Amino acid sequence: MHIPDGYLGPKTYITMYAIFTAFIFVAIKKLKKKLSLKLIPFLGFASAFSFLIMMFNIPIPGGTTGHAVGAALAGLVIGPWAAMIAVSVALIIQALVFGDGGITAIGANCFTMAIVMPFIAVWTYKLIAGNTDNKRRTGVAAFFAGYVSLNVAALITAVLFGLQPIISTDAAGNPLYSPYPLKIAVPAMTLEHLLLFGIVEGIVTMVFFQYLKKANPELVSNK
Amino acid sequence: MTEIPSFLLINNPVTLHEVKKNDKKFRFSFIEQTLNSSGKFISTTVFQYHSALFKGILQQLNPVVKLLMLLVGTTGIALIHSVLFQLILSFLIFLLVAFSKLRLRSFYKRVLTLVLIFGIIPTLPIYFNWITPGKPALELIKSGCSFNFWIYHVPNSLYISYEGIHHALRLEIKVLNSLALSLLIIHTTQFVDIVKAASRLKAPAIFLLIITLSHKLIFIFTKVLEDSFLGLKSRWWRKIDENASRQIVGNRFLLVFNKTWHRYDQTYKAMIARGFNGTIEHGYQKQLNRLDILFLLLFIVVLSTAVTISNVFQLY
Repeated sequence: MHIPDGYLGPKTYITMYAIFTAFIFVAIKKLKKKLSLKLIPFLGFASAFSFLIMMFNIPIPGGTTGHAVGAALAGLVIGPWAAMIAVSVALIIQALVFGDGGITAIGANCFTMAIVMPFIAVWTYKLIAGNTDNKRRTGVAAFFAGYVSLNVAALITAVLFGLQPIISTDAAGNPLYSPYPLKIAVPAMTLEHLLLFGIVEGIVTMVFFQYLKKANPELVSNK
Repeated sequence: MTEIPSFLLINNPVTLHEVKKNDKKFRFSFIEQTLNSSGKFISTTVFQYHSALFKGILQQLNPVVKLLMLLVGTTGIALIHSVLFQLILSFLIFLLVAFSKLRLRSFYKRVLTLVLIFGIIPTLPIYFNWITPGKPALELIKSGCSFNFWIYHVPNSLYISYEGIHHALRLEIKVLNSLALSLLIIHTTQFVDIVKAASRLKAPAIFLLIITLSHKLIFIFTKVLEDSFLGLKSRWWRKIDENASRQIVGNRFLLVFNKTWHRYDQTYKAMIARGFNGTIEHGYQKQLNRLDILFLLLFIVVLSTAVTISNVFQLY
């Protein structure tokens, strides 16, 4: 789901940078109130943790393996505002070390994966689990937190792609950036996430969340 | 010249491994894949650290100049819509790679792998007339009637169109140039210098400190992860069922999580003990010299000329 350079036009990526920057400022302000000087090491470790989640490959039925974005899990474990910064930093390091995701698309990638995903995950979890501590219900809630959040992020990414042929064309009306219109980008992107990647994200979120809940109950009990 | 720490040099490359039992192949794929992911991070970091010390042209430049080149360059590449101009840029980037004394083969192997994933595979449908109608370049199927297939309308004649080739190439070459430029800057600048340069360009200090800390920690914990999975791999010889594998991954995950959590508190105490009071400084930073300014101006002039000509004369 990492958008590379060349697919988004300047109108889109500048807007996404502005939105991302605004959210980051709000997140830092909110966390500073809670954590003061502990903020920096806390977020440094949260980012490292978020990056490491993406390294874990888990077996998927059918003999293959997959890895998750981990933003939903980060949101459930450290809260959505901290996860926003942690996942953003992990994505920026990925772009700067691996070239994974474009430099111009950092704002858009961070918006979908670091801002949208943790919030949707936490809201979905709260909606399903409520105040219960029942293992099965929290497990189901964690699965859907990962599944729903990734699919919403994929939908937003598809809309960003699909908007390009409408807002950025040459004089003859040909698209200058991503050429797929909304009617192609949205179903193509969402279907693969609904049927495959969303399930992987859901399983990873559920398995690891249950593990953390079992081993460090005080850490995740209030999320 | 800074010495590479010895522990970085003892990292052996991880290879995929198969075990045969009764003529059946068992691949410890999740163990191997995780090892590959962690090995990739370590080897990339070490390689970048090393290549940033070569005596090439870009290595001599101030990191601020290189960061500006990255930002201006990726923006400029996105704004140039002429395939010819993009090809000229590809050649200029190639020259910069060569003059920076990077290994051309391994550099372009990495770039082209990423281009295949991010540039070529997603643009394949653009070649065909069902997405980009136009003059036929290569006819593939001619059926009597057109039909709808899922989200696509497939016309009665399926062919690769000249317009499709042009649009797909334009997008692919933009991805190629952006990736080549990004990787060129990344391979000729140490990560810590990129962060320092960002601080001179007024990026939020707190955010940069988190990035610096996180980058170091990822390295440390990746090593923990790799050691843990290597230990596991050396002990295991039979097929692992799915429940057991999830248990294994879960345990490793918890190990890493607990280590990061424990280390966070220790690091905070260490920072306070060393007198950290919230003031953030990014250490010594080199001043811009005449060569830096000249190089940056030349880069901006070439790029803005290409953007202007391409857009004013509508060269697509």
